[in-house]
Amino acid sequence: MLNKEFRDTLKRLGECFFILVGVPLGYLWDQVIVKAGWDFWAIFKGVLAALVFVYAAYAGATIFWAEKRDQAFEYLFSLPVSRTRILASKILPRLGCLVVLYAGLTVLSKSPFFSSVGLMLVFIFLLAMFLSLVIDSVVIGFLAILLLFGLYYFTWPTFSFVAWKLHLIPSISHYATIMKFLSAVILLLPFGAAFWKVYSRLDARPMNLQMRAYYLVSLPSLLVVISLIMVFFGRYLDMMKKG
Amino acid sequence: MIKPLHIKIEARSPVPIYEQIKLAIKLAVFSGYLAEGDQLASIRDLSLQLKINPNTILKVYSQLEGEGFITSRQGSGYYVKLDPTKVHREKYEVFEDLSAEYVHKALGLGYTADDILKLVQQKYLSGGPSKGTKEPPYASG
Amino acid sequence: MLQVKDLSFRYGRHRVFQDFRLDVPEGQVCLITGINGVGKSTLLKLIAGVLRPQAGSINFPGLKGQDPRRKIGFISDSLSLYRSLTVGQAIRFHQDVWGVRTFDDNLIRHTKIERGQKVKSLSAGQRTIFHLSLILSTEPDILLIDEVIHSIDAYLRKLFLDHLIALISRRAVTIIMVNLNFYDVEHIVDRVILLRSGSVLVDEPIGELKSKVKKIVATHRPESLAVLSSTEFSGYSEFYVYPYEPGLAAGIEGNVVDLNLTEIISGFIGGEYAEQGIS
Repeated sequence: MLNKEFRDTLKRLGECFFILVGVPLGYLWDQVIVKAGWDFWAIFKGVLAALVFVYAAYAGATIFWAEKRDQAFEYLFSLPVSRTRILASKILPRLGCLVVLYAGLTVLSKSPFFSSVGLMLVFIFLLAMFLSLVIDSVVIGFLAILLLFGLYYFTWPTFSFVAWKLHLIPSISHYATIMKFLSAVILLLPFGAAFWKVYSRLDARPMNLQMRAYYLVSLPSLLVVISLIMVFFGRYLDMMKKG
Repeated sequence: MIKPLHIKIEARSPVPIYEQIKLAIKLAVFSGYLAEGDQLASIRDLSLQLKINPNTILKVYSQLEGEGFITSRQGSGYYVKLDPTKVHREKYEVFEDLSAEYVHKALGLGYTADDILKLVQQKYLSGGPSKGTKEPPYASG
Repeated sequence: MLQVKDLSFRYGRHRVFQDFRLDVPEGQVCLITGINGVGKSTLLKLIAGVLRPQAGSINFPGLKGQDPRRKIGFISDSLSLYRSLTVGQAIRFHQDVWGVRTFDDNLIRHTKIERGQKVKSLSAGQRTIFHLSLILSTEPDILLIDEVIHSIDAYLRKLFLDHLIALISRRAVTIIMVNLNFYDVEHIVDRVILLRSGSVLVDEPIGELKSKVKKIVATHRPESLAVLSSTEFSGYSEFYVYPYEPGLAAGIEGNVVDLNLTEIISGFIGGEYAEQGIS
């Protein structure tokens, strides 16, 4: 009994002391800014940009958060509302907020409309949403997104390369935005298909009993996509070296 | 006016609930507690009072209506309206059942017919011999 | 009102129902019971649309094409609700889905529930009553109530059941209740269904059930009668018998005892456990 209490106390104490870390960090940060002469405004915009990305992932990942926390799945599915309408009414406000935040960022940064950044945000949102059925923890969900996001950065040049090889585009750097869009779709497709298959049959059974479609569809497709990317990306790198 | 009834329902009984309630209401009529024109509790009230399914009460009232004990007035409720011939017959049947129960139990204890008659006359009916036999209505024949 | 046809359902590997059938006519009050884990809650959830069968279907002939959940009021055994909402918000949410405006807050006032309280701050009894008033506000034709009557105090139980009785006297509702205790509801139910691992062990109108299940207190086991379960005393025993017919016990030295619903079900369940080797 006492052991547990000691552990709990030390945990709380540790969390408290964590605040102290902020002091030297804040000092260091201040020194860096003063010495490097960075623009506060630029830093603010940078943090805001990061925030928008984090929000995109968070909004998608927490789409069923209320139901999971309140154990409201049985109630939700007993309502006379179709699955489609449930999903739509969940996506709409979250995507809407994301769009507003993104618009705010664009206005604040006084930069032209970053279509590829907007695309990335939607990609992150959808990915987080698709993963939310499988992954319970928001932190692990973030890591999965980072992983797949990293994968995206390999995917779209590979996709450009493949399209160029197939003589679909004149050069690799052409139509970059469209290539990015298409590669995002390719990465999202298996998850989307698995999500839809699971979602259309979603009921109040425990999540882990409903995930078979997910594992059977999305994971193998992901493996196939990754291996194809590895093959073509290798060739792409070789080509870059030569040219 | 409404005459409230307390009806005891026995869950452990071979007699169905609705029969128990019907009998209780009939006995209330026979004893004179419920008189012609008295209003019965509404189906809703009686089912809430007894904690039983309103459809059971509906069945009770419908059957009592058919058996000549009550009638339903549109919008008003259920009232005692006796069909004298039917009521008399039922009352006599109850009398017969009570008597049968008593006599069988008494005989089962080992007493004779003479013992029974003597006890009934001397202890429970005031005066001496009965004042002539009253012809029971609709005696079986 | 409700037809379950060839229903098959499993939770992962565990098969709950296989080609299960059930018909419930309109206006019937149906009691479903059985030992724990036999599929009672699962059946109710399947009817409510909360779970989906792998095979078979549940049809609602009287409901003509609309989403049957629109006419169903369901209280799950976990009292599933959005608990982080306040009572007022939960009411508005529920009503928006159905498009109704009026809410009879009789029950809520009775149990001292405030509209500003969060649902999770209500006691279990208050939450049960709140859930009931929520589902009644949408005028359902079918009520599915899963075990919630058990764990609330006697007064709230009476309140809950009084509202059900008043509802039955107003409209023709079909009620399916899952209960493990019967003394409150014995006289309200029309039909008793006892489930046993995915199939029906008993399905009788309550009057017939009472006439078919008797207890015989005797020194010797009645030979010609099917005994469900028995209790031994010193020198004599009690036997639960089903199906019983008058006269079958004629040659037996003992008494035939009438039973209430609790005793009847207990007799059956005792038989279940005896079969599984636990006595």
